[in-house]
Amino acid sequence: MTDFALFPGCLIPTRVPSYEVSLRKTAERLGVNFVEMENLTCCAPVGVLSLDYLTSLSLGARNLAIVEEMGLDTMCTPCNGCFEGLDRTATILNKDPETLEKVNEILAEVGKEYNGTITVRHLAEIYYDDVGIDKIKEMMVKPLDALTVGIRPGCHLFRPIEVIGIDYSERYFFLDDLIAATGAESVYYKHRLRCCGGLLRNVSGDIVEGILRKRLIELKEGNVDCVVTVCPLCFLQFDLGQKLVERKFKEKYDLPTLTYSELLGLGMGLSAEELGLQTHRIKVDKLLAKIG
Amino acid sequence: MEEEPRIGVFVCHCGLNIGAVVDAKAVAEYAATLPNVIVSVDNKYTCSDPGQEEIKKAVKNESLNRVIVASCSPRMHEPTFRKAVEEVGLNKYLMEMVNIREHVSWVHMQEKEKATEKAKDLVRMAVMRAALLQALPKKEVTILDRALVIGGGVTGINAALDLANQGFKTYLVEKTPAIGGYMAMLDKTFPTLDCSICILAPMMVDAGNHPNIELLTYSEITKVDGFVGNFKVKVKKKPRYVDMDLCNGCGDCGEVCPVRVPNSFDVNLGKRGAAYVPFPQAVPLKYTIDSENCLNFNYGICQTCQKICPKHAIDFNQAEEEIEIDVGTIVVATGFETYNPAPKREYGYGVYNNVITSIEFERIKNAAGPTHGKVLRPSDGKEPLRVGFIQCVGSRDYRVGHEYCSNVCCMISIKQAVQLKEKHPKAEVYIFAIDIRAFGKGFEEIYRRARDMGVVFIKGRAAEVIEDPKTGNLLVSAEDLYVGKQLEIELDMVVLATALLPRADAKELAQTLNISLGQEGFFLEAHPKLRPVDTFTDGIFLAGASAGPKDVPECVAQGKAAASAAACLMARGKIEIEAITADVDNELCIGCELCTLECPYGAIQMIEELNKAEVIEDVCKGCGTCAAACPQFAIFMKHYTDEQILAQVRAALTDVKERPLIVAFTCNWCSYGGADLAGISRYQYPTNARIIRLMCSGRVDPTFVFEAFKLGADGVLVSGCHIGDCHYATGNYRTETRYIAMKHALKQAGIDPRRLRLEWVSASEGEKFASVIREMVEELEQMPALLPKMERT
Amino acid sequence: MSEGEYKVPIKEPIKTKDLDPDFKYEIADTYLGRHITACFKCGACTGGCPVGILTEIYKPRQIIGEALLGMREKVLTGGELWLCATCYTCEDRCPQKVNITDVIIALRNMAFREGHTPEALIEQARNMVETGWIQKTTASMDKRREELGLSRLPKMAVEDMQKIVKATGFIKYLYKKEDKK
Repeated sequence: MTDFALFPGCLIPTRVPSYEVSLRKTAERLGVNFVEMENLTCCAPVGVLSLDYLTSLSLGARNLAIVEEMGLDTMCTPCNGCFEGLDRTATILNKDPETLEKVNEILAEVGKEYNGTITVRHLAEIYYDDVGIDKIKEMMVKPLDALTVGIRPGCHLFRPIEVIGIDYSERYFFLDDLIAATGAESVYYKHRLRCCGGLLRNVSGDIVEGILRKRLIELKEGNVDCVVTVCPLCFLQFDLGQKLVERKFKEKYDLPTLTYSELLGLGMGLSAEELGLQTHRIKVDKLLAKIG
Repeated sequence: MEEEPRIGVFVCHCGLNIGAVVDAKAVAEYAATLPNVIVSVDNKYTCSDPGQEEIKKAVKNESLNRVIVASCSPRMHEPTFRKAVEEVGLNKYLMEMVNIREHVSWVHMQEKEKATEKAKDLVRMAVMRAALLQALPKKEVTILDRALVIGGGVTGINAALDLANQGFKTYLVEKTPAIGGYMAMLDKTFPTLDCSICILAPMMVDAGNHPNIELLTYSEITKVDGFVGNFKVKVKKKPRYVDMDLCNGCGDCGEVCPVRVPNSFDVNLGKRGAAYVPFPQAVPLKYTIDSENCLNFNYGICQTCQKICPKHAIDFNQAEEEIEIDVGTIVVATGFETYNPAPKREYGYGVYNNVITSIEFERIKNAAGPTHGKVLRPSDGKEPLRVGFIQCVGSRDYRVGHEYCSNVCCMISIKQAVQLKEKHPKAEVYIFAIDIRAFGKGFEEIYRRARDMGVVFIKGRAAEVIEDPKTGNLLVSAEDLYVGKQLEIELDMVVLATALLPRADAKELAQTLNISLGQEGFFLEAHPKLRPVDTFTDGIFLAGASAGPKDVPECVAQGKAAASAAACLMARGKIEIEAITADVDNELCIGCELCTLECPYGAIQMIEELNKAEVIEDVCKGCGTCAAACPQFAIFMKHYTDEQILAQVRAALTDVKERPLIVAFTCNWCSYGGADLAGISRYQYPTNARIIRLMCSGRVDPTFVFEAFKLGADGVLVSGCHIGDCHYATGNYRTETRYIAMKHALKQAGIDPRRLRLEWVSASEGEKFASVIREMVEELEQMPALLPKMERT
Repeated sequence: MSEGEYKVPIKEPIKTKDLDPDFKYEIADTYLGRHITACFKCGACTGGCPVGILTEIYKPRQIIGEALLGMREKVLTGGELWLCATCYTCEDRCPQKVNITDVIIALRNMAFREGHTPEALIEQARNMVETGWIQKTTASMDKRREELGLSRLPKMAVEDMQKIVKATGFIKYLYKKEDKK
């Protein structure tokens, strides 16, 4: 397996550090080697793209140029926002020499150049394609068979399809296989691939909590023990956001939320403490009890 | 024959079609200055009676021996003007057309001056060619008075009956064991709600009993040779393992057969035995044993049917048979197939049991269908009283690559909705449609009837279907644009109105028959408006849904139209064909045999004793690939001689006013048609190309290309039919081989090989032709100017 | 008005003079907005929109329709644009391959340059330009990271970031004249 330049993004290091802990610990055990990136800028995701297309591409390209300088060809990011932003940048620039030239004119200001050689991949893809289900199964020491899980893949893991380069985003999802590899069961519940509204957090609290509440109700109806996601924004929504919904609507959901690498960590026998699960707003005690 | 050329040039305004862009008067004035031009005039409409009269008068009064008409595409009016000059005693091959409408005024609408210059160039090229044109003798062939109809659906049945009733022996070839096609599967037909099989069955029986019709069911066309009037067709008869003469259709074999497999006639919803007729009214009512599922063929056991058959008709040793039939004309009526909507995953077909397709619903509500006409939903056999129809599934959908409207689905769903409401007036029926297309006779009326019965029309494409796993009920999300709200409608069953697609084997059949496919994969008619049942191959006609989605009355009309077109030919008994064939100059031929290898038809043989090649004129189709290959220039390609083509090349490059200048060689069948379509569709592209029409891209002799570069062409385009679609079977393979060699030679001569381009453009790819020229001009503009003095290596 | 009568808001139809016929071309000229003219207003986008289901005011089909009509002012200043959660579900289902979300983003780009952006997003972008982090960072974050055995937050290339946003012209629109430093 090749080495990956790790682009952790901003949400994970600042707001979801337990995701970072678990991804580093599980990656190490699975033989995934990350090379740290330095001197980064923001990935310039949809929030920046929404304001200025060229700025978003240029900031993204600067980060991709750093991967080239490191002598690597693949960037790994565990964040859906970074994944969409940087994958979009790479997809456009790797194919369109005209735009690349325009972007490189801007990068010249900071003494950098992007040559269009980098592939951007999400951590979940690397776990699925490069590590593989068999290897993950092999590493499981603690059976999670008792758990039923509702997945929240995060929209930008599989959309827009033209950027991600897949046929179609509906229904089948490789995350189901990743969950199954840990022994837990991924439950099919209504609207499981629908958006959680996270990116509207700054625009309209009413809409965000309205959407999130719908998803929480659907998860409850699906009788899941917990939510598992690979997106830090989904994580924040279903963890912290869940609290806000509970307060606003005076309801109780009490649905623990884990990132996939946290679930994996538990299966590998790491303790909740080691994984930093105490930092979650929705307590995971019930879940731990169920695993035993 | 060596008389001085006296050329008349007639420039047409075509009303404003040409006149608004090209200064026709200036073109005519320019033509008058060219060598050998005696008369040069412009007319409002050259194709009109007075326009033709003017040509005839000029030929007589000025003793013209060449006529050039600069107007529309020769594919439009070449026959008109050929006839006109013949009427005043001029050989029709001495009339040349210049296409200044489809190739100029319609594609350069914003560039009047450049367009006029281009028109002048094209006229100059024609004048130089015309001086070298030669009269050719008439060539006639006899037409056999027998016809072949391929496809036994309602279209083919009608075509066959009409032909047979006019006294022509007709072979009706059907792939499946029985004729009837999709119409036999339908319950009712829209908009009148006639029972489908009730109106079709009598016709099927007529076809089965007609003394002039020979039914060849369970049979396929494998090879077609020959040409108009004289086709040799090989038909593969698959073994039925039942003697057709002995079987009386009693059905004992089917009854005792222990095998149960899905019946494709019931869209696999019902079951049949391995000994079966697809449906009770089948014509011929003869059983078939399906060897794939029969126990005898798989395990060597059972043979119960053989034991029970009272007529001893079952013969497990029957073998596949190939027969050859000779026919004068062919009608293609192979129909369509329906879209499998599984890839439209948001609708959950194949995942949710209660999501079905239109044709499945048609079988479910059919009294002869798997549920004996009881509408029951698949998941639990309950009667669905809340049903939704989702329109345009696979139609008008760029995501799945079918951009067209399937024409019939709106009416199918409305018909099905009305039928549901007839049975259960209180049933809740929704139709989710982007818009309802009710354009035919009686369509609007049934649409109104459906609304009066309480069918709810939601204006909007359904976004997704979700199943409640507990109840099997379905939730359809959609926006209703009429009320501007989002809906989530709970339903018991959802019917997807799926697209009509070209048959999967259409491409293969097109190659066998040497006819063209349109962009969507349906067979291509010779002209979308005026020649709807003709193909570009004389003697082969199209009918029904094989050329695009159609409803029953349209299919019937087309079946009859194609029969009539075929009958016209056969009634005449003879037809004049193009005299464009190759000829070998014995003095120049060195007996290298290259041409014999080149010819896709084996039309060139060696005269052993002389060691010279010889063309068998009746077999030669006139593509000219032999002439392009001949190292000695010993092959004389009638009407497309080396000298005639080189004259055009040279004329294109004299007095060049526009750079970069592209010389474009297009084949007559696909690429010239593609360029015409660009015109008809008004796709605009730069004026830089000068098109030279050849019969086949295989005619492009490297000499033509090198001569063009030598004289200062900036680019050369060679364009032909897509590989596999060549009108001359394999002519374009030769093109490709030569193209690679030419690229290499150009490189060695220090000419950027990108200046030569090979593009496959079909007659349905107008947009592609335009964009090829656009791209080429863009690319050539980037390159440094090429010096016209470049010597040939 | 007498007691019990309906209160009816009165309006004028949209008139030709209210429409900018060039607006659609302006959008179609951008990379992200290039497919807008293919829309045939089927509503598949809106039928499955997770935001549209919750609120009357956001309908992708309507925004595209208004843009095609030329309702420049309404589209760019109305604020609906900013309610798209960018989940891209609509793009996935559009039968005409209109990249609806991208079109919305193209429109947002225009609205931004004309000064109609929700303040929160401007704030976020300014934060990115000034600190390198699009999220606000606090000292407690480093503390928590340390407790979890992680390194401190990495240093961001703020200087480069600022050069880039200057070169793309982004910074011009991010700060109004009075608060430019």
